[in-house]
Amino acid sequence: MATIMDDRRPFPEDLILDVLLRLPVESLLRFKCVCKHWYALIKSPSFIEKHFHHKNNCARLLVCNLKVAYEGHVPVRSVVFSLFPKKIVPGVTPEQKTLLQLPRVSDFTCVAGPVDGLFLVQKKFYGDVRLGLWNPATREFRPLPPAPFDIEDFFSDHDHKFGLGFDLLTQDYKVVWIRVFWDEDGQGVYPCVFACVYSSCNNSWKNLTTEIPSSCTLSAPLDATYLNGVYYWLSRGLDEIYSIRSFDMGTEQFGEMQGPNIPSKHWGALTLRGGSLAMLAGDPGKPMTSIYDVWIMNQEEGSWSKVLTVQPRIDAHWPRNIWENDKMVFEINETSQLVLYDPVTTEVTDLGFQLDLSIAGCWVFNYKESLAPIKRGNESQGQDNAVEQIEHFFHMLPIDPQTSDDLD
Amino acid sequence: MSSEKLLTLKTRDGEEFVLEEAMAFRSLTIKNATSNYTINNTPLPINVEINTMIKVIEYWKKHSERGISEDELMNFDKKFFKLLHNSELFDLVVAVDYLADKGLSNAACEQVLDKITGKTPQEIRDIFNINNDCTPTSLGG
Repeated sequence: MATIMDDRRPFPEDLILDVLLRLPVESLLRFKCVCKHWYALIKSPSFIEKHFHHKNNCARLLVCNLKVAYEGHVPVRSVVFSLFPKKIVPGVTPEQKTLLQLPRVSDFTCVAGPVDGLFLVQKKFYGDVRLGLWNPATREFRPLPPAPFDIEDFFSDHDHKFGLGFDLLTQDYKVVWIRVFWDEDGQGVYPCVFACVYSSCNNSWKNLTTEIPSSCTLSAPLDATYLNGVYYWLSRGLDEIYSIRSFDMGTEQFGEMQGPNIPSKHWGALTLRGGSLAMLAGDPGKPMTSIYDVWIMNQEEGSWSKVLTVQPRIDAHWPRNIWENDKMVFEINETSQLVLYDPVTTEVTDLGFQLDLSIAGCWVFNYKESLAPIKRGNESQGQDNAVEQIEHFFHMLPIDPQTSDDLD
Repeated sequence: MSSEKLLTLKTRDGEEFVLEEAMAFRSLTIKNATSNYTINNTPLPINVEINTMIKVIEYWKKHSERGISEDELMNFDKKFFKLLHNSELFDLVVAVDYLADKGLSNAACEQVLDKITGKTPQEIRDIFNINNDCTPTSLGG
């Protein structure tokens, strides 16, 4: 027991724990070396879990903004991850903190997450797609090895979806990857669905069999819809009816269940809200008259109930996510601004973003920092240079591109 | 005046004092102790020193005041904790933990939190009087 005070009683262990659990990740990383006992404590899985779920650790809005500009035929993407403060004052554009900035990158495609404070980033260069796991708080990054999709040449990539989650039994972070391939060249082979799962402990992929039909469309959720060992997607088959497909991180089995009773012509997206799986659905309709319903799933029963209805009286917009249970982030169509809408006060707060109207992407996440380790065992050795590693992972374009052919 | 029930407490260093039962019961420890204890005007012993207990009572008195506003309480808390030295704060935290008063415990913890956020590891060791038993190699991965 290293926490001793000279001639006074030792500072109680549970009080030390109480205090440490409320500290931000940055402080905890620094305090790991105070003494052996604190080191072991801060690294322990139970501390990491308690810290993540502590009421002090509030979910903050994190926006990933992707813009594209063309220099000749070279797409130059710029990516910025911005974090918002814990409290946003209505009507006041909040100050953002830049977590990561990649000003000139050619192959960044998308980001998924967060699960336990971890993000999955994706890069794509022609057919070659690679993933990386990132913890912004601990500044750890790990590129994932290539997945074993053994695909014939004539298949062209149509769609893919990821799920990131945690196998509660083996304490292993896993990534499930579903790829749908179309047969564009008309080889006569029907479209196929491939799936495989990555284990963080083994740092390797494994092929999976799946019954998911290629006619089924899975939608990417607003926030990674991982809950208690299962990942969920919103699914629509040829009949256009909404259902929920799932992947159990432990059993590595796919499943299907009923979704909420929503008209198929309505728009819908899955997200998390207050620790439950939620579906945001609605008839976007005309400006000022759009109505959105928020449905919550009871995970035990698999039943859905409508908990909230929001009718924002604002210009034509597109919903981006829910924050703090009832506030919504909208993208205003005409101006491409991101705003926060509070249905209780009906106040609209400009979040200070100008999104790219064209191809690019914008992701709005609910982010809670965590100490979750990506690397295991001896690999780590204090490598917290995520920015460097991320810049190495993606293809960063030089400021003065000599020739557009030079893309190795 | 009011016939408030009174309780006599005796600190670890032998000091006796009287407190209104209602106020003393902010401490779950005291509350539980008196339930299996026949009050015969024998002082109830508590494992806290008088200096620390004085601070606790000061806090309890203010937070029991009728009609006091949130703002006034906030200001009081600020001043109250500001005047404490590290060692006094820690003694308070330990005492309040023993006394089991959740409200004061939380407030005191937050103070400790404020004190240590942003500090270097060595400053932390100094505050908590911890020995540095870490060697660079013992912190591999």
